[in-house]
Amino acid sequence: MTTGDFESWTGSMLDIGPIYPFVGTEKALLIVGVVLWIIWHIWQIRNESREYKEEAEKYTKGENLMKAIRGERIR
Amino acid sequence: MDTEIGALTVIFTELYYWITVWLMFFIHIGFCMYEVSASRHKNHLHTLMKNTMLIPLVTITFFFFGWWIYFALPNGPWITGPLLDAPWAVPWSELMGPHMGGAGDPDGWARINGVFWAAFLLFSWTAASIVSGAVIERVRSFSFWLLAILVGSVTWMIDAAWGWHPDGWMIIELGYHDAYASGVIHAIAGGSALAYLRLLGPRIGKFAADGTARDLRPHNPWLVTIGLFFIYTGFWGFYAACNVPIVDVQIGDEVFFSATNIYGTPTTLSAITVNFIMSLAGGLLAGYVVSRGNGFWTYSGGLAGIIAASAGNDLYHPIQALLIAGAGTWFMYVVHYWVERTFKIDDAVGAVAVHGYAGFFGVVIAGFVLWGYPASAAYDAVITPWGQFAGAIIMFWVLGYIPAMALGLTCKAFGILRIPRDIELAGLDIGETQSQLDIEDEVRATEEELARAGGI
Repeated sequence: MTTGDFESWTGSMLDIGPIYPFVGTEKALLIVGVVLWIIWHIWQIRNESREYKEEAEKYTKGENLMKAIRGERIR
Repeated sequence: MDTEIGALTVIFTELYYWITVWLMFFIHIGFCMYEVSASRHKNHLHTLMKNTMLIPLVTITFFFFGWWIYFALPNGPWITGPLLDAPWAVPWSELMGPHMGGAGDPDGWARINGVFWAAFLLFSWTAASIVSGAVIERVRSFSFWLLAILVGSVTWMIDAAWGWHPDGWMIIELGYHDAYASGVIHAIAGGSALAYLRLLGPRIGKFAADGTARDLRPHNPWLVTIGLFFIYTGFWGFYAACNVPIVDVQIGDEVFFSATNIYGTPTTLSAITVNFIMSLAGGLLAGYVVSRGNGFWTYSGGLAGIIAASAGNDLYHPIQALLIAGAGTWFMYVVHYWVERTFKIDDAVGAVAVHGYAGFFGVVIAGFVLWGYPASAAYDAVITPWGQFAGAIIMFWVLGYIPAMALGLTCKAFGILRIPRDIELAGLDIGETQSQLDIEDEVRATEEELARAGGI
């Protein structure tokens, strides 16, 4: 049993092509990669928007914005 | 790989590009240091993350489609011909992974594909990172990272296919010559940055009520210095990576091996090394004079000088490189302040000037200085002022400004282009700052408690 596309280094090197495991799954791997990439962006924009919304809400209260500009603690 | 000399040539080429890759990594270290030093304390972490995360995002998208674009689109497509086959560059190709070549790889792509891919990827990071500095302290990360992908993995790859490929339609039709990427990297990145800056608007406080620009100087000049020296260092690798190290350039039966530029026309590593240094010197000298010894603009002038001479640095005499670099630096400085005054553009690190205006200048001036030179070994194209001017317009405006403007307008329509006003005022790192204050209070309370109890 081997996950590779060859079984020995001792034959003719001219017979050896790809040396990574599971040759033939390249398109499936690409689909997985693209899906993960898009999911990352969706997670990031949601997270970014939520954080900005929460932070912005703090500054509507009292002197919070002035304190933040001065680098002071906001309660 | 079955003859000693053939194997040596392939493995030398593999090693050559490998060295350029890690040398070019210094460009990114420099950009990170430079940007952080130019930002204010309240925005450091956001600035750093914005730049750092373009590395993985441009990398994966470059793997998915950027590399293929370069080889598939030299004809436009359909400007001079159809899409081209590039079986080694599609993301599902076996040659994109570890591969011994076997009997079906006479051109050695199994060995060269990876390092060649990586060298181009480092160019992509550079293009995206140039834009990053200009828009600091106000752009939303999501929006910037889309722009980084657009510039790093799409538009610069299209312009490389068109104007930085031995069979690109711009070489064949316009005689376009841009050996070390004045236009194909720098002008396109500058044009893209300018589009985003127009849509973003200036940072709060950049302009006084009467419209006068305030000089928001770098908070840490030493970090700017080190950052720019790292960028200079990385540019050695950038220049070397623009060459092909060993090629038989003799047409016909004889043999003559030389280094070539990306177009396949001969040059030497020696020539471009001297010209690189002379154009750095010209930029530094001019930057110092034109800015009256301002450190920021002197260092930026060094970079602008290299960029202004890069289009023709495979062929210029060293003193021509020096003079062109000086003139380009003067040009970018004057245009920068004119644009800032006239259009209220807040280019935080001078990126549009150093890369965009100097790059545009470099492409155009090469058309005059190299007028009539053969642009290609394979086609009857010659370098001309009008071909270069058209090329500069394509780089800066058509592939730089317009696509970035379209993306920026889309982001603006969805309200995700610029950070909310209150967060900009408080600082983008405000969440981390407040968390740190909490932790400091807790630690202090613990210390006081222990001190009262006599435990320490």
